[in-house]
Amino acid sequence: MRKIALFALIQLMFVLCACGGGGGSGSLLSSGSSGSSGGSGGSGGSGGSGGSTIASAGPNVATIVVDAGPTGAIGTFNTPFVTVTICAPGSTTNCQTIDHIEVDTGSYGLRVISSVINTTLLNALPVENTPGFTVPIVECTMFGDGYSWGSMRTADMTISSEKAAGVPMQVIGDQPTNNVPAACANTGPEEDTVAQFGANGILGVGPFAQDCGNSCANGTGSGFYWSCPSNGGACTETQVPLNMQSVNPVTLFAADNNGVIVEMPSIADAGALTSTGALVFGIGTEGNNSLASTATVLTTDTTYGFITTDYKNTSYPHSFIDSGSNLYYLNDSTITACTIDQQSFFCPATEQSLTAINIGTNSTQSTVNFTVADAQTQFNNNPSFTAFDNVAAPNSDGQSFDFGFPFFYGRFVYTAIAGMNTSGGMGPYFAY
Amino acid sequence: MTSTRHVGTLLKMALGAALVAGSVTLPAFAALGGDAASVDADAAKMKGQARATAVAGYTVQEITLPSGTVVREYVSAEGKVFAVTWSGMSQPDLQQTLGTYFDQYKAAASAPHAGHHHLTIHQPELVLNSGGHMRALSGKAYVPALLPPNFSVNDIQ
Repeated sequence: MRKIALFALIQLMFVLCACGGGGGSGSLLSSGSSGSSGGSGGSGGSGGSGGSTIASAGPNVATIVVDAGPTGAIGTFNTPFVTVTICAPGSTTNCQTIDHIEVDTGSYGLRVISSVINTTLLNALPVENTPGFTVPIVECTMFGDGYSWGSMRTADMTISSEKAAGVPMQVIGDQPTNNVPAACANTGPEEDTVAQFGANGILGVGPFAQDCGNSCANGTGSGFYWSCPSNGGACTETQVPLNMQSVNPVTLFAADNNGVIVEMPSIADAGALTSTGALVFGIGTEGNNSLASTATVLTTDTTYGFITTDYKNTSYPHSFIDSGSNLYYLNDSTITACTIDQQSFFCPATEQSLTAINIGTNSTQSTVNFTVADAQTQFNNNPSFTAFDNVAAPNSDGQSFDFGFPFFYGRFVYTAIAGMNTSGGMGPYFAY
Repeated sequence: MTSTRHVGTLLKMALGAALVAGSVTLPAFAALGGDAASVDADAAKMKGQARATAVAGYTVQEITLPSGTVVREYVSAEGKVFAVTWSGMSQPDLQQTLGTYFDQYKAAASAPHAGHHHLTIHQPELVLNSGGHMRALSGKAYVPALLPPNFSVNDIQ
């Protein structure tokens, strides 16, 4: 397997420069509680919709850092990270603060790689059992490039000063890998380590409360949840009630529980070594999280979280806004594609200034101006940079435009959770 | 992009016309690169409902799996599966869908890359895009050497 260009270079720079700003090469896990509180939001408070200032430290504000990721991650860029603290249920002492948890508006629920959780805490996180049996529930979390396999447990979670008790979460990689059912294993490679996952965990704060929802509560077939006997017997797919599924922890906060805002500063056209912003909890619940008057509310469908995007006279009804995607992913055969390290990107000879129109299920429209630069040049010019607002790649879905993390720079992106009321109306919606 | 739009519209029209005219009988399912005439058994493994539609120069077989995920495969006049797509709440059995190319996909997906919502593989033998977000995953893959003459990869939808 050849490893060239971006990934090798980033790896090299990562070793050489101890890339400042993000703590990427510092200790894997910070200790104490200070790491989880807000810190100062964006540097200088630049950027944001309508000239807004990125939220400064506060009880409902967690710092977002875009950097090279935790030790062991390779080739990470355009990935927003926060720090969370998890505790054994009911305990205030058996806790651990974990950095480099990816912020993902394209998934739902907290997932942490088991190897980063200390043994004392791991042993104290109770496993969820299949209803009516003492057989653990194990989840197969399917991503675009593989799957993560691990047991469902409960934990108390704190982020900044927001607390959620008894959060059903996934501990990735705590199960024997020889017992993965074929329906899960045959979806791709396993991603159960920090190196494979590129993060210490992931915080799914998208527009729904559960990762699977009714289809897993009322039936099987989608392959999310499995009942796996402790003796190593074969796993069988199982229904799991909504309140035991991986849950968007925001919905369990006492207040500020109707959604989140991802607030990022603008970055230079060439990109940036790192970028710092804020993850703000609640929409219109505090003085620091009101919906900007300039923001457009785009409601999504209630199952998938889709909006419609019109781009170059074609309509893409399966579009979405996703902080967990590193690039814009779009369909455009007129932009020159290129291959970097055997992966596809767009590499136009001159930077393209493009326009798309997003349309909510509420028929509200919003015009998005964005640029697509030559990804190869961007990566080559600054191989240590981890933030780019103008890199894109062909989409896997001919019906979809994915507004990945490049879209988030210079914006406040609001994600309201289904069924929750906000100052901008009922979720699910995206607004910016 | 407008050409893609037009082709897409034509494809839909062709699909619609063929469905009205009645489905074309074809073996139910084949893996990428496989021989369509030899793989009836695969449909049973995927437990899918299949239907086939003829388009100029090739045939699209669409299989709806019990999970609701839809797999489409593109079969050339020579009976080879040259492209596959999938879309749904969960991934299909990609070992079955990609056939002998599954190991190549797995190796490429295991190589360092950023993020895990998308994967692109661009190799001489296999081009694959997979991605989406939770509850809505999709992908497409094709074998460049097996594409029919004059076939545009933009027609793989």
